Amino acid sequence: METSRYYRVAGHSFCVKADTAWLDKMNNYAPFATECKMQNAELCFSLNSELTNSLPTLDGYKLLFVDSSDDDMPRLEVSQSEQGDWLIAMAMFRHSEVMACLQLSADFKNATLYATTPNKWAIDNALMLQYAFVTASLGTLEMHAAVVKKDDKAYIFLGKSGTGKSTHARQWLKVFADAQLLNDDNPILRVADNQVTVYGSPWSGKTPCYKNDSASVEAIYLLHQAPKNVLRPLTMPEAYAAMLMSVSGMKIMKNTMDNLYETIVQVIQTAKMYYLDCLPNEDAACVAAKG
Amino acid sequence: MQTKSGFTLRPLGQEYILVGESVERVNFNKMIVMNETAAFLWKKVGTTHWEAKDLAKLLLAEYEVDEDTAMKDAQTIVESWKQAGIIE
Repeated sequence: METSRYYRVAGHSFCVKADTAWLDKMNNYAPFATECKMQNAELCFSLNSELTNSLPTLDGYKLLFVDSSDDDMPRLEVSQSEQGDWLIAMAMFRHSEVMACLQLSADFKNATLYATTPNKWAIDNALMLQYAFVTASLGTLEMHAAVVKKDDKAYIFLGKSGTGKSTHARQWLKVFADAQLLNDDNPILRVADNQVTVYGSPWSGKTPCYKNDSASVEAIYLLHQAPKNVLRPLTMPEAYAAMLMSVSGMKIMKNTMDNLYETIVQVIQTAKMYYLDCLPNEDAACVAAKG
Repeated sequence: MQTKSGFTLRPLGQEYILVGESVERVNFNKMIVMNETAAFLWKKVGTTHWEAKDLAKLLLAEYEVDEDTAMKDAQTIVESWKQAGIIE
């Protein structure tokens, strides 16, 4: 049976219409559920999910590029039609078969996810993509990062996959009794009135940390594994590159990039930005917190 | 020489950055930092064909430098752009 559910993440609302077999797997969205049905005007975007025996073909679409950064990372095949709408074929790993297809309107606001089974990975990834694409123009950055909240302030850890963002966040939890994990993999950053705020989300990688909570951003750290713990400020180009590497979005689109650029520049001018050489130990958290 | 297409020059504080924000540069995972002079030249040449001596002329017209210095600076910039893979 098809049902519509409404959610609000970092202040942006969206609607998911899917079979209950699908919606029942979306426990990670429960903290973000909004009670009442919203008017269309209040909705940022809608995702319609359809179970099908055969995924859509590329007929009428042109393959633009394949996004596949690592063997263990998902592969996305991004295509666009002459009318401007998008088709993104999604596979769980670089060499695995396509598992689901996400069709998006040119403005990303309306999408349909096609899959052969009510697959949770597919709907999570579809919503993460659509959220990043739509909210890029709303002063919002969907990040790949871990976040710790302490004294109502947030500390964000960036780094390439495997650098130890989660491990470093754990060191803060050990060292500071009042620190808590806000999100472990995909927090949302928003800039408004010269203030940077980070929000929890329904997406948190392998760690079930789905907090509908937020905090003002105090500092952002680019982590790098090293034989000793050393903290230094990032230069502006370094800070920009660190943020750009960590944000999701359709980075080939000029409009999207103009928006991401504006937001990133405001973030790096507002928050403290550091480079942290670190070991996976508690001293690393002490060194970072002194910044 | 000619600048490769698909790059965007953006101001960042006192400097500029050149980023590959297009389908054709989707695998260019570097970011080039340019000072004001390099950014001035990049904007001036646009999509035209040019040689190092053309950059030197642009420098002479814009800045108070002698011909030898302008030519040397132009050659240095061409070399660094070549190494960065942003001209062809």
